[in-house]
Amino acid sequence: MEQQLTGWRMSPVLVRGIVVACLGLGLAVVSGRLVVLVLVAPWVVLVLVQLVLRPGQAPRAVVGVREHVLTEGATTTLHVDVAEAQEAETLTVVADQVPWLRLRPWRGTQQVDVARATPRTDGSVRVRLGLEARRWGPHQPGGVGVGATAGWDGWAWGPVPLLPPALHVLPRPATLATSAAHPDPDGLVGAHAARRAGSGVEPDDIRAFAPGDRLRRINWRVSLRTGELHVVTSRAEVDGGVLLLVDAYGDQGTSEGAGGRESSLDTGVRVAAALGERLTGRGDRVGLRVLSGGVPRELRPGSGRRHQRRLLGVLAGVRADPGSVASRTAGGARLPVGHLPGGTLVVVLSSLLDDRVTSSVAAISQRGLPLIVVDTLGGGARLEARDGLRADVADLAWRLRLLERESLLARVEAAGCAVVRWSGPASLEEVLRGLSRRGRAPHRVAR
Amino acid sequence: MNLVRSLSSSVPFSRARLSSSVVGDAWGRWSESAPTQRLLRLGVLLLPLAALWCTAGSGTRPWSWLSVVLLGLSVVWAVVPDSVVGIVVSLVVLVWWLIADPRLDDAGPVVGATSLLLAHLCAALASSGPARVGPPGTVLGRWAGRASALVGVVVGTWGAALALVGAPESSTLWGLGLSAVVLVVGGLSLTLRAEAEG
Repeated sequence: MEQQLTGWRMSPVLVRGIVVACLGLGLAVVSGRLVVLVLVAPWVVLVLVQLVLRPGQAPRAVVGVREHVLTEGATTTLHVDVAEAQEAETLTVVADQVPWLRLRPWRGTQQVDVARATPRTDGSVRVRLGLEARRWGPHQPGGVGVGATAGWDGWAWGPVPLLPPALHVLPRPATLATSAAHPDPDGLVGAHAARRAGSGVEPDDIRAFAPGDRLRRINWRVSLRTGELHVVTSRAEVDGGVLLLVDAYGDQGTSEGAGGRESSLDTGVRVAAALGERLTGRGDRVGLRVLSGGVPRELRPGSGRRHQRRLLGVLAGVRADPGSVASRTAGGARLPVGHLPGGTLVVVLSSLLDDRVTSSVAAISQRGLPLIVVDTLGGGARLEARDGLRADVADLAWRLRLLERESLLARVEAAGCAVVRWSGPASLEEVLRGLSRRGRAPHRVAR
Repeated sequence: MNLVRSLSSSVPFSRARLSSSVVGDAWGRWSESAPTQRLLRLGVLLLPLAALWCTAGSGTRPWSWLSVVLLGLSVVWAVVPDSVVGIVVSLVVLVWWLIADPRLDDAGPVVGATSLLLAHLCAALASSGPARVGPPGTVLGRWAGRASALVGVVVGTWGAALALVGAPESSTLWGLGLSAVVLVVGGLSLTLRAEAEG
């Protein structure tokens, strides 16, 4: 929010009027031509009116936004409150267009008749512009200029440049259509049926009564038939741990914002947001780690609504950063997967074009954790021909890169990782069910 | 510095600087401008020429080269309605009237003075905001009332000038006086009513 003060000054209209009226009057008097007097008479009257109507107090303008945090695709209002504007005739607000924030009206300009505007309780006049957030991330709306005219357009105020506050746009979670359970829940309390017996509601077995069993667990029908007390046992209900790994080493493809084409990073972030929303809502502990060449962004596992908002906040700050050449050749930072409890489901959201991601995937796979790799590379991704690179060479390089990627994908799948291409809401259903079945089977877990 | 130019070229509004050439910039402004702005700028372009040619009724046609020069200047004025070119255009018309000295008992002076005044008002309205947005309808209505009152001043002055030089008939003077009063009172009442409604 910013506020600046400038005073009223003569407008070019008044300056023009004064010059023409004075010179015209002088010429008419000197030459004695009445016809010239007829020509300049209205100019003289207009100038006199404009001079008489000189406004006194200068307006004050303040800019703000209705919401500082919003979800991509949502619209908020950028408002400019102009106080002491009673003497003004028109108020003009012009906002600069910036990427990912669409102004409404699209020209980003609003001109209001002050006499017709409804004043607010403090007497100020509010001019509104719509701001639609097109893509997640922190966004700074463009500069806003406010100007006013008064006294039959003889006086002008502004333009006063104002800088609106920054917006934090959260990613809109992708639509997920999956009812599959966590493949290997191993927590304490949650919504998933565990392999071990406990006090849940899902029946597991019927066995002979033993000291310590609760009376309400007795199955009377079986007890009468066998002549011996039997109880129904149930499985424990526990939560599962999930770690989301978002590949931000690069961003392939074109991003058109909400509702448009998605880049690989768009897909990764939105699917991560959807998984976070779904899993934290189910009581699972969800952690997040952003794989990028910059400062590592990490969110420790947690659950609940507040944790979900924190997760969206971290995702909103994700930026593609390939890192230095040295870090690329060194294989990137080691993933701290050692501390992850057994049974943690790891979901890697990646375009699988960076070797550092594949080495991380291999490390997780060796750890024996259930792992899903979601391929976020869209079909429309291309290598941009820039820095003097010819388009055909760029195309050839991209095809070679895709061939390498195919071989990489085959190696990852051969290592036992489930790789699924993101193609819509039901993309993860089958692979999650497969992992659940595998999770119930005996398997090696490194602890 | 004018509001429009300031709004479109000050630091945050860098779009105006995208066009490299003057012609491209002018065309960009024209193609992006609101219909009302186009109409106003058309008035700024053509009305000074009408004011110049109003002396033709008295038998003094303006020089062709002067018309061409005035048209060129008017084009610049229409593109940048708050520029000093507006002063130059108005003074060119004024000086030509001094040279041509049209007859006072002809309707030419009234039409010419009205044309030049309307060009000035069109430029004022066009420069009250960026080209891509037109003035609100209520503002246009208010200015119509003001323009009407100022035209009344033209008619009144003309009538007074005729009376000074010896009017042909007193009924003509009465008619002119009545017209001037009607225009001024009607225009002012329109303006005041618009402001009171606000």
